Amino acid sequence: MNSDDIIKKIENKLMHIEGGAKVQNIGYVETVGDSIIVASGLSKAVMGEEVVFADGTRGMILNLDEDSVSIVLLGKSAALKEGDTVKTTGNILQINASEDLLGRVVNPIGLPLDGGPTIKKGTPMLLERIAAGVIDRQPVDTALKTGIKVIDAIIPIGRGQRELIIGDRGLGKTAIAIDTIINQEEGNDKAKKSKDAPKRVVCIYVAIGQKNSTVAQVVEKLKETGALDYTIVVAANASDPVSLQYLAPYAGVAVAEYFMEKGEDVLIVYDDLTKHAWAWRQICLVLKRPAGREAYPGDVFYAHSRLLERAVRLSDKLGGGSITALPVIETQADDISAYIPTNVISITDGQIFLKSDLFNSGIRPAVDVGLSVSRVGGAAQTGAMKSVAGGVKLAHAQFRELQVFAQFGSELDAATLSQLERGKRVNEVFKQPQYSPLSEALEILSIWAVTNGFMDDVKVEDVTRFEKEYHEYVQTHDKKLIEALSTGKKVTDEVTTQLKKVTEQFKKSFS
Amino acid sequence: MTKRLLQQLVLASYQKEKLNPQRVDEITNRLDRKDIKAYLRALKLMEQQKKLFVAMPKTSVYNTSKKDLEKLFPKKEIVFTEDPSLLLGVTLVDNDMVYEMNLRDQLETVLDEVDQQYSE
Repeated sequence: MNSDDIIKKIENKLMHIEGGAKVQNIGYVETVGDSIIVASGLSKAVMGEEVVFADGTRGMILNLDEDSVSIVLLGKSAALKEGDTVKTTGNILQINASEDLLGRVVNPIGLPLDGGPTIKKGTPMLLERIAAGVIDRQPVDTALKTGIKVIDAIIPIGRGQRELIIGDRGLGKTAIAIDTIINQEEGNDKAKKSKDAPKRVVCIYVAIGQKNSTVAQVVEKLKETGALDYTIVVAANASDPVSLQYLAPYAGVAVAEYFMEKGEDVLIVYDDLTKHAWAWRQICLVLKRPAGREAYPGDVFYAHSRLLERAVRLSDKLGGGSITALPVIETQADDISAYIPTNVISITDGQIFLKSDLFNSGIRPAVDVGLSVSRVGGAAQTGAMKSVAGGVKLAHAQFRELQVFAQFGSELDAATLSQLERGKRVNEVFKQPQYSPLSEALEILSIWAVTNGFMDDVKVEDVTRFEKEYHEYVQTHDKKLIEALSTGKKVTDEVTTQLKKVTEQFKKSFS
Repeated sequence: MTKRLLQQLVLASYQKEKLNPQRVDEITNRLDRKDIKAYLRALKLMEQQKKLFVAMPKTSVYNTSKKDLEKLFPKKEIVFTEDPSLLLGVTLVDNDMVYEMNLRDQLETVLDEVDQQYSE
């Protein structure tokens, strides 16, 4: 493109710029404090409107009083003082969404945090939008594979579902979310190569009130595993204004809606909504809104429900796209009956509950299968996984029931003892290291082998090694079996026979 | 002091739509420090509402359009400022509404548009 072409393009653009008088509503700063500005004037302002101060700082109107408005700052400004002018922009808060956001780290108003160029082009997406109605939705029936055996087998997640990850600090909530994001790489590669493969999954990680170092680690891990290519990170960290922490999840879902409306599937992780509730509480207390239970504002439930309702699977008429939400909630002392946890549990379509005593006893991921649930269930599993999941669910449930009798080991009958032993091995199989999501074929191999008794004569402490070598063996000696299991179709008798054969062959060589 | 009382005091400070200094003195003598501040703020706002701020690039242009402005805003006192940076046109500030009808603003819009589309 030469300079004449560029000039012609600019001229063409300028011809279409709307002229005419510009009408702005202005106000004057009355008080400044606690990230809240009270301004007089602005009589034509609307709720949630974006305003700009004389020094270029942006804000959002959150309170409309008779003679003044309360504005929450969307940036840091030490220079604002009484008497400064503030103007409305006529815009409700929005973020520019486009494919250029993939691989980027941005803040909730779209400014880059990774040192890259500002994303100026894109579709402006409103941060606050009403969720799709009932008619516009279709049931969840496509699996979103996390690559974590215990979740994909017993608490399966579907595309368009909201599944809460809840637990105390340091138990691996973020790890589950990151592993799920990393696991989408295989599917996204297949989607690039074949039109028949399931759609790619765009991932969005929303960091709310996290430490900068934690977010940096997450970004680095995503980059290392190649997952950042299809991931967007929206971050409002602990040192950012509380208004940005409040807006972060809405900005994330606005970007997700851009991709969903193009017919794509999106996974969005909100890490974490507890800090989001704290941020909203802080803003409301400074705005002198009435405080409710635990000093949270009365609409803290609505703050989360309207966010999570935007995770949806659209009907085929509207493109068939979906947003799968994985909100994270941090509990204190495993108390899931606290205010915010119970609120979000009642909104979501299930929860993955991480327990500290499981974590401390070495079961990681520390998923409490008894308290965890997926309300979508088997509808979100492939036929292949469904064939094996029923058996492992039963084995694990029986084990949990019988565990209390384990102390009476010598007094139990043979059948009970064998169930206990089987359950211990199932527990071992469900253990999985961080950043090691498995493909569905390998998950099915492990689960099938343990539920069909092939690990009953393997010592519990050798199960992990058995599983690893078993995977390597099958991948080397029977690639067709891996392909058959990867189709997602129900396991046929032929495939079962092949599974038996290869497993017996492997067992002969396993020491 | 309630907002309603404050409004009544402000209205009482005016006689025939002009601020009466004697009445202002009488009122301020009866108020405490905090209420005086609120009263003065309300008076300033009232005074501002009675004015129309006009900025034009040249005084001569204002002189030719003064009558038209007085017809459009009959109850307002017009305060004129010469601002050559506007290049052409006018800026009107009426209470909290700003009407930018000048060449400088148009050029700034063009610059913003080009900046949005073509710069990094």
